[in-house]
Amino acid sequence: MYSPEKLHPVAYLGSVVNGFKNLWIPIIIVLFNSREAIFSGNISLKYFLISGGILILAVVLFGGYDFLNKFRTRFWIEDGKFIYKDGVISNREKELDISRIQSIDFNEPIFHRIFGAVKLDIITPGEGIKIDTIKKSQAQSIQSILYNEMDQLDSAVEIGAYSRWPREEAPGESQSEQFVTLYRMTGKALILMSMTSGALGAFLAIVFGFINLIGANFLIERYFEVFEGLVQNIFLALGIAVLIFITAGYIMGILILSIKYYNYTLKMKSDDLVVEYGLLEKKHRSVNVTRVQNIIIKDSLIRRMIGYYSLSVTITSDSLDSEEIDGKVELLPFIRKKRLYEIIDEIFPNYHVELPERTVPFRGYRRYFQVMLSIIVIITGIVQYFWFGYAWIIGLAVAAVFIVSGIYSARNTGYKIHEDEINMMATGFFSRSHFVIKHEKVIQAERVVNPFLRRADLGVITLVTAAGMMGSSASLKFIDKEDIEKIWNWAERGHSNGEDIAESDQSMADQ
Amino acid sequence: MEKISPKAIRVWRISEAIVAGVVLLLALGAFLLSQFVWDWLPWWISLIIFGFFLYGCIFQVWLFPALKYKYFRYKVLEDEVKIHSGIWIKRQLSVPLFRVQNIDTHVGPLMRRFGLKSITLRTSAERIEIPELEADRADGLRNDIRALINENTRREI
Repeated sequence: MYSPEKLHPVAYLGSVVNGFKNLWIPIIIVLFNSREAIFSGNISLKYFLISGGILILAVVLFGGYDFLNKFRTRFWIEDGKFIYKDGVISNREKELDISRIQSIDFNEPIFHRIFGAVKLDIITPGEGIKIDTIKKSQAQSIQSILYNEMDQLDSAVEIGAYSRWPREEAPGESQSEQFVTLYRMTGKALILMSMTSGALGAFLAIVFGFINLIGANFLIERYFEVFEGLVQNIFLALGIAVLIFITAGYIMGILILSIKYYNYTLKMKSDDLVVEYGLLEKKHRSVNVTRVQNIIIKDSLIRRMIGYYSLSVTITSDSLDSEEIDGKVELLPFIRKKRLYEIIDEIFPNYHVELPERTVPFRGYRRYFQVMLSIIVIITGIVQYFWFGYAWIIGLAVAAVFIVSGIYSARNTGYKIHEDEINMMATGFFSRSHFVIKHEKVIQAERVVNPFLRRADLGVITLVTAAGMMGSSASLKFIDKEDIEKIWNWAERGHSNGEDIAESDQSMADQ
Repeated sequence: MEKISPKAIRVWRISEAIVAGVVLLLALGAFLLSQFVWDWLPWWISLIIFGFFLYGCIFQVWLFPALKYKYFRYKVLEDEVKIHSGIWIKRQLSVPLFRVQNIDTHVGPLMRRFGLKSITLRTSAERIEIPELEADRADGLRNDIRALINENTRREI
């Protein structure tokens, strides 16, 4: 790793594939326009050779640049820096300061897995580096070396002296701490998770999107006709058809999600958390605990009923290369409540997580659904008047759902301040997000009132912490003026209080 | 709490008036086109654009600048910046200074004529703007904020 290394040979194959990928739209257009010539069966040799030649030339031109670029790519570690170099016409060199790296991730899409290659993604608060195809062993050794160097730098900083990592030592031997597995998702939990997530929605979206895309609406009509032929009663037939479709979609959705999150594991090694999952495409994400900006515990109504929650944290990065621009990393997608709190205690001993108290006064309740309600009323009115006589029944049902959802939200919104931390419960459509934010991580506090809210002594407050490009904001809606005042005062309390910072034991290097 | 420069009202009015003028020209152009050149262009399109022009004149040029000036307040404390704004919906913003990464100043052509400058504070999540300050006040503020940030970071290390 300390001498320049090259990419995995299969990267070159990847550049050929990329060449085709970039050309697929022109290829389709050409094929479509010459469909008569192709289907007639008598393609002249000349035509075939010329078109084939042009295609190959284009692939060589498009892929060739990529190919050369990959051929010239080198990366290595030097002097506490990770260096990446590529470029065909102009050379490009990127340096990342190892002490600033906050996460080293690798993904294994199915194409890469066949050849034992991975995609590596190194993220710092500023820029990041993405290396497309490298050997898995290389990626692992980069990861372990970087982590070790980071440990070394950390301890060096603590003592006050700055010492370099001795190069003679082989990196593999000096791994003092091994990864400890904190959580491994069982098959049962995986199925339960897939069942309670938007599995059906995902499937339906894919199916209908695809059907619309290829313009095959006749498939749906055909599907219903089959059932109408089988069952005499037309309503019964429609009901059965829809039921079967939904069940099938649900099962497909569960399968898709199960494959995606197969064998979900959370591991920890000193300061670094590593998440691994996936059956076909293996994902591998890691997070440095000291870089965590806030903790988010999420649940939905259904998951809450069976006692499962999910845990995410946010980190910050300006890198546009990274896939996760919002900076949110899901650590535990699905876990029992009790186990969740144990793990949080273990990972973040400096955080104090507790359930916020409900704070929305009764006069705020209606504000959670009044806007949605008026929209529904208007839409229902229009539909009722112009198209469909029974629209009011649907409208009423939808309105009821939103009113219940609004009340649910209002009843769960709340906050709890504990020294330099705030626990905020923000709510959405039958879902809750529990934010735990440290005082020094708050970037911005914002409160909003309009004259109606002012008259009712209510307000909306939003706390923003850094996350990816945009920041992650937690807002409490329609809570009492006094509560807003409390949160506001907490948020803007001075930062010169040295004790708070020492107590939180968080690194300031990333600010 | 401090206010921004009162000249801001005139700057905003002039710039909004320019925008409104462009809209008026558009309306005129659309009217002429629909009458004499393109038959397919309905004449009422120009009326709609004229409506935008009227809206711009009444609200953007006449009402909003004065109100915006009246309700915009800011304050730079030792460790944070506070901004109050909003005519109808009131926003109060508080940004810890040690989270500020960049301080940019900006001078537009119109603002230069009036000797104004605006300051933009960039945190890692958002950008916060204090518009239309007197030029020396803006420079002074920028230096103050920079000094405060430096002092704070030094103390933390």
